[in-house]
Amino acid sequence: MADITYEMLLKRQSLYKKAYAFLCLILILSIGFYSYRNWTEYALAREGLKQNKEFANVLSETVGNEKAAYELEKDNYDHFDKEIEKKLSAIYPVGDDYAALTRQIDLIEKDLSKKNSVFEISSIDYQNPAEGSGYYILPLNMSIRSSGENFTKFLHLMENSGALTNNMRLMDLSSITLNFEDSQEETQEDLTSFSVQVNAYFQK
Amino acid sequence: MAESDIIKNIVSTETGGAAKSILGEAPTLDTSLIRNLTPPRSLLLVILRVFFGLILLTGISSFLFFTSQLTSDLDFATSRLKVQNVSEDLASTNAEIISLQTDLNFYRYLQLNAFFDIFSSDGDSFLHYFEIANSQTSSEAEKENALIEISELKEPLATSISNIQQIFTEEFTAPLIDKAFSDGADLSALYKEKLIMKLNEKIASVSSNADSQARRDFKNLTQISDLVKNTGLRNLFLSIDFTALSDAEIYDFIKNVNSVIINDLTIIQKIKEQRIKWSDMIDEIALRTMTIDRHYNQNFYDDLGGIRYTSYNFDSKTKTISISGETKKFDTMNFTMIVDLVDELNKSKFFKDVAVRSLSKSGSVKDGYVSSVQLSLTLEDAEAGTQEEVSPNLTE
Repeated sequence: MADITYEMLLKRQSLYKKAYAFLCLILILSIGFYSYRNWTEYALAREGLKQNKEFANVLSETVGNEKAAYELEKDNYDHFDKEIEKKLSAIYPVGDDYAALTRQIDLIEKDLSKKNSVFEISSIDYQNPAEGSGYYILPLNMSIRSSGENFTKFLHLMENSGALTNNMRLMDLSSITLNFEDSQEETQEDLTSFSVQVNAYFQK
Repeated sequence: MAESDIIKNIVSTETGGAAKSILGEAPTLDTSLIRNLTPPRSLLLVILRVFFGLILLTGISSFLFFTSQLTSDLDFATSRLKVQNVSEDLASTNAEIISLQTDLNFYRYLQLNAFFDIFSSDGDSFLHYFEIANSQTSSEAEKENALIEISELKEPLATSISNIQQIFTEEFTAPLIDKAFSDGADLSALYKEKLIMKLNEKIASVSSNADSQARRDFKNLTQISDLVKNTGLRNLFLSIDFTALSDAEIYDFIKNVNSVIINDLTIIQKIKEQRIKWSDMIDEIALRTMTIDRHYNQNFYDDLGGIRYTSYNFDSKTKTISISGETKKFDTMNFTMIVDLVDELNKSKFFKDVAVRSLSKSGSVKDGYVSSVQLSLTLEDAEAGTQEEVSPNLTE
């Protein structure tokens, strides 16, 4: 019985050796695989970190340069913005500004009206402002008596209004009704009576 | 086996058959002495055990190390011990790069917006003068002046376009070392989103301020936000060689740009595009009438006959022109003159659907025959623009 125990212990010892050897092998393989995979990721992360730090430094410098370049020109940009704003306040104002528009229409009449070339605005009738897509419209009706030449000039003024170069309020002709009159004297040219519906625009 | 039998026979002969043990009784073993005896300790087993322990320790260390470096699971411990976490540091530097690139994009777009403002301003003038130069009704002096202005405007336009192109060729994204973007995910969408968020923050900070500079900033930032969202603009600018463009192509290009960017000037431009050039329409009617009546508008109507209009009615909502007038002929051919006029007007690129279904005349050979004319012209769509959109819905 005693022999058997001894033998068993010997066998157990041998078994332990095998088991430990096997476990060591399994562990080495598992840890090796786990470590390899994670080390690869870790090494990439470390390398990435290094690259990122270098790149961030370069980028930070670039941002500084770009900001400095912008700041250097900012006054010029602001000045340009103010100029445009000023011009827009005449051609495309923030409110309907019908008073300024009335003065402008009076100036048009004054410029066109000559002794031998009639241009008379007999009435201006402002209507309620209406909303367009991205802008507001101030509709107005005008009754005008004009020579043919001035009528064409008036159409040109309306069609070219709203340019930054001429500071004239942005307008268009929604409808025109005109009647031709025969001149009373041979020397006088034919006159045109017309009523127009004008849309004057302003900012939303 | 044979050898065993021989020895057995010899032993049996010599002993005379009586079985007698030579060595006596076999001794009995006292196993009690080895009862508690264990096999000697195996050095190999000890080494294996130690080795196993070391491997296990290595494994645990490896696990802890990589967990602390690549995940945030052990942050509670690493943060106290001030141990670096590579993955978090990487994420932190990625966030820093995103923030820096967003700042860079922000300053680039601020400049871009300024260049667009300059471009729109010069573009507005270019369109204005180009239309004067190509209008049927502009005088020669106006056309000449417009051509000079067009020529002078090309240089600032080229400069603006060059500046815009230069910014558009810059890189608006920075590479990120991140698993989320390793499979070709759209980095530009990320940077665009970050820039829009930054712009929205800036817009919110100035939106409630009534100061004129704040209002200007608000408008500019809103325009920039629209620029960032616009995807086609970059390609539009990078695809052109401005120096190779003709005036008409520059005109089309500016209009094209105005259709995709939004600022006050482009809104104005859109309104202008929807306007109908009534002076060109009137001129066209006069030119077409002159081909039928060569003395039209020369005060010969009473003596030689011809065509005379008494009223026009232009309506941009219905895109129609109604004309009233009369024809006078001494050879009775009034009706032919009227239908010739209708045919001529229908040939125009401006008009369509011109018709007269009812004809009548009165008079005599001596005084001439007079026939009244009522014409209704519909504008061709290309010439009529999209006036409907402009016409207000008036609330009386």
